[in-house]
Amino acid sequence: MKSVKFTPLEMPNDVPKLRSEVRSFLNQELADIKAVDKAKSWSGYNAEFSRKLAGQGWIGMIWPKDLGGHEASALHRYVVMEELLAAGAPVAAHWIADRQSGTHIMRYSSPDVQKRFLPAIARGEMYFCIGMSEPNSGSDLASIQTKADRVDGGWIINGAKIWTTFAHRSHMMIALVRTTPKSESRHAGLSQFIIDLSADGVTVNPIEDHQGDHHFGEIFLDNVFVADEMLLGTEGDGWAQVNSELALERSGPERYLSSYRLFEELLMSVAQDCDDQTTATIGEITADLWTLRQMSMSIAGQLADGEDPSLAASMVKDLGACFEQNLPHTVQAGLGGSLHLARDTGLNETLSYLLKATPAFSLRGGTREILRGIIAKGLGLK
Amino acid sequence: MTPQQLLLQETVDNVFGELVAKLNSRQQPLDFDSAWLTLQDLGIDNLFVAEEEGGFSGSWQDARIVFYLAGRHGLALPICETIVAKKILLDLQLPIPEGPLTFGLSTPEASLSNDKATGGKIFSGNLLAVPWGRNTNAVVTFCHGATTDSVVLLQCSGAQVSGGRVNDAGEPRDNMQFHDASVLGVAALPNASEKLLRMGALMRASQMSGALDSALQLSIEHVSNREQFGRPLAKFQAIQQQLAIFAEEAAAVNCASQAACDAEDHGDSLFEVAATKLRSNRAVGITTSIAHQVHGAIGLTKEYDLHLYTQRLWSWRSEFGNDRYWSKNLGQQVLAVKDEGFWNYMTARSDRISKL
Repeated sequence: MKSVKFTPLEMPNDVPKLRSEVRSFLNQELADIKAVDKAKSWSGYNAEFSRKLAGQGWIGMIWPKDLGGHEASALHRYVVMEELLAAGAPVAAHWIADRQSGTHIMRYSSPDVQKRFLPAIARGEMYFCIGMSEPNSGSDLASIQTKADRVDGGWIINGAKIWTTFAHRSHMMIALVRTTPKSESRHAGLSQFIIDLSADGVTVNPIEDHQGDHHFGEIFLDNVFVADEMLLGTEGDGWAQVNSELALERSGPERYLSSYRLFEELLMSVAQDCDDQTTATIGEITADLWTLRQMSMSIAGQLADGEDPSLAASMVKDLGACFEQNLPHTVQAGLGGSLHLARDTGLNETLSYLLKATPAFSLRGGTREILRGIIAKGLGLK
Repeated sequence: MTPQQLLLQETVDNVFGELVAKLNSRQQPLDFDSAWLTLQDLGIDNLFVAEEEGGFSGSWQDARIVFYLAGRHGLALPICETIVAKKILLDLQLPIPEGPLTFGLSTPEASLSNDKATGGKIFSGNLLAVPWGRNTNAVVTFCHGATTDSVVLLQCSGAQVSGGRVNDAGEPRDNMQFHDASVLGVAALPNASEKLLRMGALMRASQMSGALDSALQLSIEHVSNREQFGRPLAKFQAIQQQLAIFAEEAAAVNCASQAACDAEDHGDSLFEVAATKLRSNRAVGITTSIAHQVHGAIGLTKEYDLHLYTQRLWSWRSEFGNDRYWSKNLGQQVLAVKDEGFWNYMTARSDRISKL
């Protein structure tokens, strides 16, 4: 048995300069944002902020210049992402388009389609959502029923998607649909399409979550026409394409930093010479956080070198989600004195928001059980 | 890994594997002195010694490979302790004695004084749970002083060793009493105890990574071969999910120890080592209970090798700082920088490890 590769990453030496540029931009832009809104992290939607961020060249950073990108390295992009998340910047509007839809389009679409979408994404003006889950298909993704039928010049799509992050505030959706009926190989006959959510036959409804937010929604597709060139990649290769997309989705710093603002709020709320129990709790959180960051950076380095660390990425996503989920519970359990009774401090508002938000962290992008199944397969157990 | 590191890994892996087989032989187990000679012939104890002086000019990244493999094989010899003891002596330009060496922590009343007869320094004090104290020639320890702390090198034969103390894996952990013992070397070093503890923690965490991988490998092999209800245990989701958790923990410890060795190679690394030893300690409870649970009763037998790794993991969790020690230490480090910004601090620390 070989250990899973986690070679330490050595950052490019101009990274400190980039960090300070990002920090000075964020200091200004986030000055008036409340602690609880910072806690929303990559679930915080703010189109104006996305456009300003694009103005700095920090969306589509690694894409070619003629497609609106900036030809930066993947590691420089990683640094900007982690700085945004650590500061609690409201990045949700463009996050998915920048992280995976754009990259996916670049890999699988024609130059014309790339020109249509990538520059608009890089300007912070066009937002994407990912249509995977359906009313009867969650973890068992291959069982989806939304289907596309060939017609002259394109496809007619019928079906429904649900639990789609910011469906109602996105312009486009990349959806996985069935293009040939289910056969013996469950993973065959699936394809990906770029669907314009303003097209005829598309209905999008937000779904209110249990704390009154609208971060996900449902999409009904009723005889929606999609032109041929909006088929992404190869007909029938959807399963493999989705899996390569999930590797991008599973490996970023957002997989361990979603609750990070609470740790900052805790540090700001306690005295330097606080009691031993609080000190030890801070030590324990730091050990997990530092280790996850090292793991996440190692994967970023491997991706930048063209390797495929998908098993390692599944491990980091699962460990990271457990960390993000446990953090609010650990903080709540350990708050002392007046801190735990207050309701109106940044710390308590952040804690309250995150206690309710964290169950999603081990559902989105692959459930804990699915990820552990993937890891078990990597260990040779399946 | 560099080509040299791959060669180091392959060579040491083979030698450790053969040695452990001989040491654990039921017919005629190899004795300590003969086993040590094999390591000395390989020269691996001189990992940090300069090439022109017969060593490897190794880094902590190189040392981690050896520590990992010592843990991976459950090697019951003080090779890691000797490598680190020599590193401490090299850093302070102190003489390096022959043979196996060790290092350990002294109790607060330890003292250095001048020997009126010879004009040299003499040491009195107790060293607690010194790894392999009875088997080693010399021990590196520290002594608090009025103005500064010192690192002290002592001949083990000058100590009274109180009988037969071992850790939970049966490795010697000797309490050594020194009374007016002449020192082989002494050098002033602020925070000497911190340095010994930090290097010991980094060494143990790297060994823990190896022991975790071996316990994981045994667990995977066992559940793949053992059948119940007409199929291998490996085919049950309940087992798969448990071993996935184990693999994640092993990966976390592996990654942390590599990154901390990288940091130690770049200078000050107390932050990274504290995080690494604490993270590694916290992995022990989770992983050893999974390993034993999936093994069933066979895992508790003397004959089966799982205890070579689980017993060491339980022992090493306590050595060179348990969870309580490092969580408080790391928490204090974080609180000390919180006003300048913890995120800025953590990122600046990793940014200093950069490439052109």
